[in-house]
Amino acid sequence: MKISLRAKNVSLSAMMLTVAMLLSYIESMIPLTTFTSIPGLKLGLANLAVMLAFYFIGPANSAVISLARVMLSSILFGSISAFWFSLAGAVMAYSALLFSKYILRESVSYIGVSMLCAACHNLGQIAAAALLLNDKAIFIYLPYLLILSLFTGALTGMLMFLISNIFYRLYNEKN
Amino acid sequence: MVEKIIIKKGDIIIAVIIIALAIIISILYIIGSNDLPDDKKLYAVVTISGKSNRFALSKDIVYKPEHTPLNPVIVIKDGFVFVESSNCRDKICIKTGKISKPGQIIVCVPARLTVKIITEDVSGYEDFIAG
Repeated sequence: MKISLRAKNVSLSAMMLTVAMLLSYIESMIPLTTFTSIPGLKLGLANLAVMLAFYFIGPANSAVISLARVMLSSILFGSISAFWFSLAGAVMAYSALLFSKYILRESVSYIGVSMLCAACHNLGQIAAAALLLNDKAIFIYLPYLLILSLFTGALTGMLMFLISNIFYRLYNEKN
Repeated sequence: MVEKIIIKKGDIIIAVIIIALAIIISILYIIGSNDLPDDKKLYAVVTISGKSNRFALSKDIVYKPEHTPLNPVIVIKDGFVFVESSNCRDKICIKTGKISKPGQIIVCVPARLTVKIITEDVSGYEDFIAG
C-alpha cells in the first residue's frame, strides 16, 4: 500500500480530513440519545469521507485520514478516553474496508460495505468500553448496536452512492 | 463510474450474518440468566474503574462513591436500583432507569460505572461470556 504523494491527492486528502472532522462534529450535535439509551450510538457520517478517500484516492491515504481524524477530533472536541473509543472504532471500520475491497471485492456494494463498517465500528467501541470499564457487562448492548448498524450502514451506503457520483466527476474534471 | 444503487448478493449476506450474530448473542444472554429460582437473594454490584461494591437489593440505600469521576449517585429503593444523578454529558445512565433483574445493567462510560444485578452464587451470565 503506497501513500500517494501527488499534489492533487495530497490536497484532496487534506480536504477529506477536514470534511471527516466536520461530519464528526455535526453528527455529535444530533441528539440520538433522546431516542435511545444505548451508549456509543452514532450515525457514522465521518466514515463517508474515509470511504471516499479509500475508493477514489487510495487505501493508504484513507488510513492516514482516518487516524488523523481520530487524533484531531479527540484533541479538539473530546477527551483522552474518547480518543481510545474513536480509535478502536476507526481501526475496526478500516479493517472492514480492507476486507471488503480485497476479499469481498465485487460481491458487495457500498451498502454492504457501510453496514460492515458500522457493525465493526460498534464492535470495536463496545470492546474498548469493556476494557476501559474493566467489566464485560456492556457487551449486552452489542445485539442492539448490531441491528442498528444495519440501518446506519444502509443510510451511509446510500449517501456513498449519491456522493461518489458527484465526487468522481469532480475528481476527473479537466480544467 | 456513474453508479445506481444496486444491492448485491454480498450485501444481503452481510446483513444476514449481522442479524444472526445479534440473535445468537441475545440467546446466549437469555440462556445465561434464565436458570434461577425466584427466591434467590439479589444483589446490585456497582463497579467503578474496576473496583466493585456489592449491595443487597433488599436494603434501601443511597450510594455516593467518593473520588470517582463525574460523581454518579446510585440509589437502591423498593428492590430497584437506578442512577439518580451524574455529571456526564449524555446522562444515558439516568435514562436507563430502574433495574431489578439479574442480567440487567446500567452503564455510564465516562464515569467508568457499571451497575448490574446478580444472584447470590455469582454464576450468572458472566461465566457464560468468560467461557
